[in-house]
Amino acid sequence: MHTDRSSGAALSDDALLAAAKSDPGQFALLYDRYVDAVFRYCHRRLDDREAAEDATSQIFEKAFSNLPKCRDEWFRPWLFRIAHNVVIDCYRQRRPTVELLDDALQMADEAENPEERAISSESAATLRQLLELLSAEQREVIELRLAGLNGTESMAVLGISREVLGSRTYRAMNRLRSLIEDAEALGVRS
Amino acid sequence: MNGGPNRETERLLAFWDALQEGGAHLPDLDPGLATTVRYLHQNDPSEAVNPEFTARLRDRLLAGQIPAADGPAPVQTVPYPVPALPVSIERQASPSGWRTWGWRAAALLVACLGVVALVAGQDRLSDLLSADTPAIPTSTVASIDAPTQSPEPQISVDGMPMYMGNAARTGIADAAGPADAAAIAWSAQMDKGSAGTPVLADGVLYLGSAGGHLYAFDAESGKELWAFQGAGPMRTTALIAGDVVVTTAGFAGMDGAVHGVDRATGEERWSFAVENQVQSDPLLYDGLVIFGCDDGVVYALNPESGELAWSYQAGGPVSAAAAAGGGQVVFGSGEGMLTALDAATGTEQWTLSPPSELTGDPGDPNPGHSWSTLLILDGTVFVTYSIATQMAVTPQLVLAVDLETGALQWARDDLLGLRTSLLMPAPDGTIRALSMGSNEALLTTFESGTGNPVGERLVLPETENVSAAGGVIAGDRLYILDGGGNGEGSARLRIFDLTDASQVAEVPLPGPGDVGQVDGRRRPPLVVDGSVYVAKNDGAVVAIRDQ
Repeated sequence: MHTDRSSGAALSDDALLAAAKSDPGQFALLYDRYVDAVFRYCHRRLDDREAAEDATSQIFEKAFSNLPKCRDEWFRPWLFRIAHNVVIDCYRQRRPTVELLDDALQMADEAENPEERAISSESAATLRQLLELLSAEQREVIELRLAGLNGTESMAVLGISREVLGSRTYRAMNRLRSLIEDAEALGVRS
Repeated sequence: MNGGPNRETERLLAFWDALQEGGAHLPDLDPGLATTVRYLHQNDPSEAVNPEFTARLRDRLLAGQIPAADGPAPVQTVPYPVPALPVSIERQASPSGWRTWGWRAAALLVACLGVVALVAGQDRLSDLLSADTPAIPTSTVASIDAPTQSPEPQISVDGMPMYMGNAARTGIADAAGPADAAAIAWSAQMDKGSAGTPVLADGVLYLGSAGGHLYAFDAESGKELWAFQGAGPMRTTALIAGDVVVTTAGFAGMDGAVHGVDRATGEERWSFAVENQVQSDPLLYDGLVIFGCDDGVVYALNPESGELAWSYQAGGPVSAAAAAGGGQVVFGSGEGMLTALDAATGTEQWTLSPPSELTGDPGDPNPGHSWSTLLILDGTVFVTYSIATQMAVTPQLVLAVDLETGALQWARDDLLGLRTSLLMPAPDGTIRALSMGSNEALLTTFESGTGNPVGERLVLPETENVSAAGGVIAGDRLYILDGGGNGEGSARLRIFDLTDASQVAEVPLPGPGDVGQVDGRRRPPLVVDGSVYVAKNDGAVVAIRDQ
């Protein structure tokens, strides 16, 4: 089961996946390649380090257990599809005490002046807080991009067409641009 | 690529893709949007993972503390390394001998694999299998009569709008393909191989790829007209429904989608979400797009809007192609049930579970049920059925079931080999069973009313490796994709004359890729309008015509 962590650096996901299917010990190479990206994705979405670590554990456990089901050329979107579903489950489990992201964003959307509310606070000057003012669907497309997934992979993870992805991305970026410009105007963005 | 109604959104996606790939040449984009995208990449608000956590999880994963996924491993019946079936020996056996050779072959397979022998079912078919059924002689020279008349239903050869040509899945028996002057007319390229057969209408070829694209090619020149990006790998043959082409996309075990795409522009008209991948080739019947899904549901959609007309909970994955006729749609499920629904309403009409006296005991509490071919002809459902366990695959049964009542009319276990088979009606009312496996391609003709074989079994010469590919009958010729068996680069199309079993032509296929299965599925080439269209594993699409 010994695996040289550096040995897979130059290999494609396809090659690493094939190796891991024949020798589970080789899964370490895929794990090393993606654990940081997966954790960051979870942390962005859950906004809690401990919850993000729990989710990351679940994601890689599921991936490891179900590796034979992964098609050869689709490891990254397959992995992030698992991540997407695990994070949704986390939201559901947190519902009694923590408002769902959808709920939070609905509140943001329904607020009289959400931008002002965010920008007027010094703590709202960070990008993360600006992202929280987007709808759940808009955040998803941006978070997958930040995780390194391209448009095609994002479509696969979210199960949406390119047209829908483009529409969500376009709306998200225009809204984010507006928020950033407002933040700059108020001097809250360093 | 699909342009979409909003070019600015497409430019944004393209810009972001290019930036992620290194960004040497970024597409034009509104400066404000471009700045926002760059800002996001430079200010990722997330925090890095804790190295201690990473190491701890890594050790736990690799220490074997993660259990395997629940449920049986996916059954893959196609690529089994089976030995040659003792066809010629068993054909000379006692009157009951033909009933048992399949089981003996399965036992031989198990022995070869060094696992427990499959429980045989020698004398379990007596009630349903005709006792005076004649044995099947084997020959390398065909005695199949030339087609004299077209079967019902009549099918236009102007196009091939769905898998096996029509909702009854009868194929196009009188289609004309190339012969002794066959040569490559053009070759085009997709991003990945295809798990489906091309479909054709109005001179345009449509084909989905394992890379998640639906392509449209000009059938005459091979020019790519457009490519539509779906929600994941496409695992079925596309369906042409008016001015919409329907394709399925998605990952195993995860949400999938069925897309309705404008045939002229490649733009998405509608999308229908499902909860698993779709492997069941959609059909068009009485104005509805009908398909099964691995989520255990059979869906019927309006092809113009994508709206759900009805759905039926099957109780198990529906992965094989359904067929429709006589107002009913018939499908086999992963739970081992053959079911007929009213095609207009989805109301269950009857169900049939192949009785254990037919199937024997597979020795596995959760076997896989394979329905490799299903066709409807003259009020009868003909279906091939086998059981697969993690250790072995049983021989395929051919069942004939009354379409109206679901009553089993007859069953045989000696018409097919262990691997993928194809049933196609012949013009004289008989049915041909093409079985590609057992290190050879076998063609058996049988009476549709009784299942009794007609003439001699045709063993096609030098077909040792065709088990990796697919084949189809058109007119009096058989078109087989031969993987070559010698590694990449040896794939070829072989054309046989059914009247004398002679090989008419052999066309080497260009490129390094093979023509074997993609995503565990293998499909026949499309033969229509004097052409053969082949999709290779490397994503090449090849048109072959008489030159």
